[in-house]
Amino acid sequence: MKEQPTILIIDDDIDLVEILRVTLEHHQYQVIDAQTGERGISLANDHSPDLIILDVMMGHLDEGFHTAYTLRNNALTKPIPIIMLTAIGQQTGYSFQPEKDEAFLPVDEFLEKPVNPEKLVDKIRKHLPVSA
Amino acid sequence: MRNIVSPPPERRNVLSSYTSPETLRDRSNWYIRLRWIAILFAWILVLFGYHILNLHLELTYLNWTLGFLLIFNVGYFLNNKKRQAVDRIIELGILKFQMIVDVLFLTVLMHLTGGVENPFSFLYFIHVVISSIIFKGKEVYQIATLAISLFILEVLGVQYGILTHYHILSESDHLHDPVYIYMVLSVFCFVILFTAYLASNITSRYRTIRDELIHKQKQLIAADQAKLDFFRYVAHEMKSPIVTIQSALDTVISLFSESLNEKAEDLLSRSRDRSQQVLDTVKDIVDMTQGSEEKPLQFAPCQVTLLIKNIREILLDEYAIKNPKIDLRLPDNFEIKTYPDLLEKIISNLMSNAIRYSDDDCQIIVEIIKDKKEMELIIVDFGIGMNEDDIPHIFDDFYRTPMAKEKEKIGTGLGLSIVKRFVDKLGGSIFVNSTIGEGTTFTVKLPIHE
Repeated sequence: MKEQPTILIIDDDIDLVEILRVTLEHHQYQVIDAQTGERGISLANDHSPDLIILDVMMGHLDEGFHTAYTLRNNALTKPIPIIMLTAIGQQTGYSFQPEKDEAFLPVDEFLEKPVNPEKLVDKIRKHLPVSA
Repeated sequence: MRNIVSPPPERRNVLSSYTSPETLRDRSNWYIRLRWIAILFAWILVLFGYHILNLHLELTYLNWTLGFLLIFNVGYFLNNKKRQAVDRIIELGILKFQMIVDVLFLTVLMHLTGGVENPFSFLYFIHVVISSIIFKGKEVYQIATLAISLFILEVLGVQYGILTHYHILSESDHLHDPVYIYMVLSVFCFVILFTAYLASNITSRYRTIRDELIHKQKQLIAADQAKLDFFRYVAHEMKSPIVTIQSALDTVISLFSESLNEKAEDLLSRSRDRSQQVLDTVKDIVDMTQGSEEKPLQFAPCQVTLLIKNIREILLDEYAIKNPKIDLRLPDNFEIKTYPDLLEKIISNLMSNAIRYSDDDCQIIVEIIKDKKEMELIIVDFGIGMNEDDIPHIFDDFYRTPMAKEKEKIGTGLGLSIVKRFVDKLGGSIFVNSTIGEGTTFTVKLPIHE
């Protein structure tokens, strides 16, 4: 296993990616990033990151969801935990709660932006495979 | 700003110059109702004239005539009951038929009751006015012409001995004077035509004004929607940059506060609080403008029990520092059909208010009482409460009670106004009961749709 777990950030807001990078690198994670879902999927296949942070709304309203579907339907990327970030707000929290219908939203965690750095790191620790 | 704020194009030319079959059917039903009354009154008058006034009336003929009219009206009535109003031409045809038959019946009645010597010839005017309400334009003049022709035929027929004259009064000389007859006929023609002109003119003005009002109302609704879309667009555009600013400040404060000097950290904390304030307002505006054309609200089954449990989890996490105790008294697996997004906002706003305006380690009770038609959602806190004078204003936009401002510096004052809006949208009502220092109870009543 790699010494530093790798985290892939898929988000089209480059500023937010840099902010997350600061937090994650501060906690000794390796960070790779992609600005589109498509690029994110190909990075996930090439680099097998230990965890993926995915923005819900990129180019269009549900690009994040499509990306999550694709990642979950690919044997290689299927086991990677996904934390989804949303800016939509709690209004969709209920209908998109992962535990309500796992098949509908195949992500492990659902966090609303802006995410507090400590909270994010907590959640990452919770979902990272123990061996990583 | 793209096309979001541009009002919809003017489309005045599609104004309803077209009368729908349903409207014509309404008029037809109204006309049939009038006719019941007319027949009733005619019969009463005939009997009154015959028995009380001792007029020389041909009672048998009159009874037959009114009887036929009654049968016709029963026919119209049943026909309207049986058939759906689908074809405009058919509805219009039926109306015309009724109007023509009525003018014929009136002429027969007139003839049987003395013709020109009977003041009931005024009833022709009523027919012309009714036809101007039912029809527009040329039909009114057609009916007027028909009335004039029948009246002239009757009067001249009697004058030249072609038709029998039924006297209702004892003989009177002037009624046989041709000068008198022609005077009556000329005045009759003139007044009928003038009535047709006046009545159709007034009703057409009325229709124009009504159409314009309907059109203006549609424009207003569209303008209101455009305004909401604009707010929504602006709020969405503002949201991402604020989120980014907030995240950056959070990260700096949380990771590097040790290497910052105290003053710098203080300024950064203040900035974070203020950006939080803007973000809260923006989020509230997004909520308030929910349900746009691009993303309409969904009416769907909603697991209320699960929803409230989820909200409790989110709030316990969010307000972990205050350690609230949220006591749920809910029926098992309670489900209703509603707009889940709106219901979630109502409940989460009221519950988070209950926590925010209570002390640490507070207790909140959320209870649902349901019957067949209604559910009652009761949210009780034992917090700071509200002054009686404040209660009428709490649902106003941006209003916060002085005590609330003291307790929680940051707040948009939009939460309860959003709750009120959404409760209204769901067809429900909201009540509040509060005592200073003892707490507040909000009760939301919502209809249950099967």
